[in-house]
Amino acid sequence: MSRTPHEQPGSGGEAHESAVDYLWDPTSPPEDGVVAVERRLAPLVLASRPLVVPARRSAWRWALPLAAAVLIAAAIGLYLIRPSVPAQLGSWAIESKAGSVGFSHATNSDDAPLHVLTTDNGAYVVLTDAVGRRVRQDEHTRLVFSESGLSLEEGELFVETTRGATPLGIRLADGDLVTIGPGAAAMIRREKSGAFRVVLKTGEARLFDGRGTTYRVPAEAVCEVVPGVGSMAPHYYDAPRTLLGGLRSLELSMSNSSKAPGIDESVAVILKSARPRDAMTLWNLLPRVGGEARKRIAERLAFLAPSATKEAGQGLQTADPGAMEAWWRAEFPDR
Amino acid sequence: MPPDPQAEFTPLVIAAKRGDAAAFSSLYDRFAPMVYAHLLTRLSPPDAEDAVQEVFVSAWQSLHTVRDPGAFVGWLRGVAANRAADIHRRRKSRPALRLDVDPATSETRRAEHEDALAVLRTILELPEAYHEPLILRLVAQRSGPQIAAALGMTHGSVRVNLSRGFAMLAERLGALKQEVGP
Repeated sequence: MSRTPHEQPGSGGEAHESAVDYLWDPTSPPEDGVVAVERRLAPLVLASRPLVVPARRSAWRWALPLAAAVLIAAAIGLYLIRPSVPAQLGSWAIESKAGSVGFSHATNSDDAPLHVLTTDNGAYVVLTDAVGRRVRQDEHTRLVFSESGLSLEEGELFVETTRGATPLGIRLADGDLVTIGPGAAAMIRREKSGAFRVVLKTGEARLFDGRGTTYRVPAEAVCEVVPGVGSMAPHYYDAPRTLLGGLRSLELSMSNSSKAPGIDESVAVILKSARPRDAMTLWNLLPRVGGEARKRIAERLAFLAPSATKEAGQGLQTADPGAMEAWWRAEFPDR
Repeated sequence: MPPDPQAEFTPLVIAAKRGDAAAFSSLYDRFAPMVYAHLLTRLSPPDAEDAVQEVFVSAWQSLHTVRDPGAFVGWLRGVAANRAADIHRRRKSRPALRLDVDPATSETRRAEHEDALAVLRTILELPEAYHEPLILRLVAQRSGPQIAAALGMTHGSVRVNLSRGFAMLAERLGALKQEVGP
């Protein structure tokens, strides 16, 4: 009986076994045969073209008058029963909003004034400021404005900054702050579990956690703050599951949880599962750990990212700030 | 479970459904190479390149029909397949593979384009299951997990299709080279 290629698991490509890793993961060490074919196909690579989005056709044209009437009635109702949202909140101006957006005043434990913006089902608010920063607050989100900045208490934000913008800080949990650097786009979400998730699309972000650790988060990376675990070193969105497990158990180990396997064991799992692309994650762990664990991470970095590690020199073994910065600049020269 | 790359973009789909053109442009940036790879299995490269824009304009117009934002990728591939079928219907037959090369292009560049077409033809002569994984990997530079997410396949199936497909491709390209001579 003949079988389709899907139904033939196994090692049919024995002749090209050495190409499998690079075929699976283009960030692995290149394999000559695959690279040669990639080069031959290079003229077919899709040229970058901006998308021109036309005005959207409505599939419900007949329903527009009715929808408009409902919206007007809803808007009048909201106007009557809720405090109106001001056009300006501190340094932030409301660029656009839709749906049911609530606004209220409160005070914190020090009696300092707070402004609270909430969005209900299907609602959103877009805020901009004069220094090139834009925040989109999606539905079911609660954002607090205070003298010390913005705090995400519930829901999801999309943040964009222009290249000349100053970093935008957003408070997450107690003592944790994420700053979105210039020229960046990020999604920040608070899960129902209380965990925070920061996903960088472009640019760079930094997470300052309450323990004094600073993590740098490049594009395509994810940073998480998990209740009971704390903030974890950033990882790429496609990082191996074992790497994520290692990061979580490392944080548990460092908080002396009795259920954690121990720092050395956790670091061993991380080092074993890290791909060359995950060197960024290891770099972020250097100041977090000390002693023998840090030395082993630095040795693994020398293997996974040899040129950046060579550029940084021996200072990585002590997490020297100058060496750390030199490594980052060598690994991410465009940032 | 490993993080689902598609899940990262679900918020963008939700925002785009609400009419956020910037969110939709982000989806275009992310998924245009995948759509292009899908179209390359059905259209000539210049037609595929043009059709990418048409697919996304069509997707933008009918995005409200996507009930589950998590199913966006599969839905988008369906839009691309329909667009390719429309082009075929219009032309009554599948056009021969060709590249639009500027007459002013140098002989070397022209030869490189012809060679790229020859490699693409060879990929499309392999079993169909290998076409999209190989094009996504070798033209769109997508990794195995990204291909699995784009095609809705398991990592194991993609790994097998990539390794077997590439082995067959390398063998046929070697044979082709021998036929043509040094």
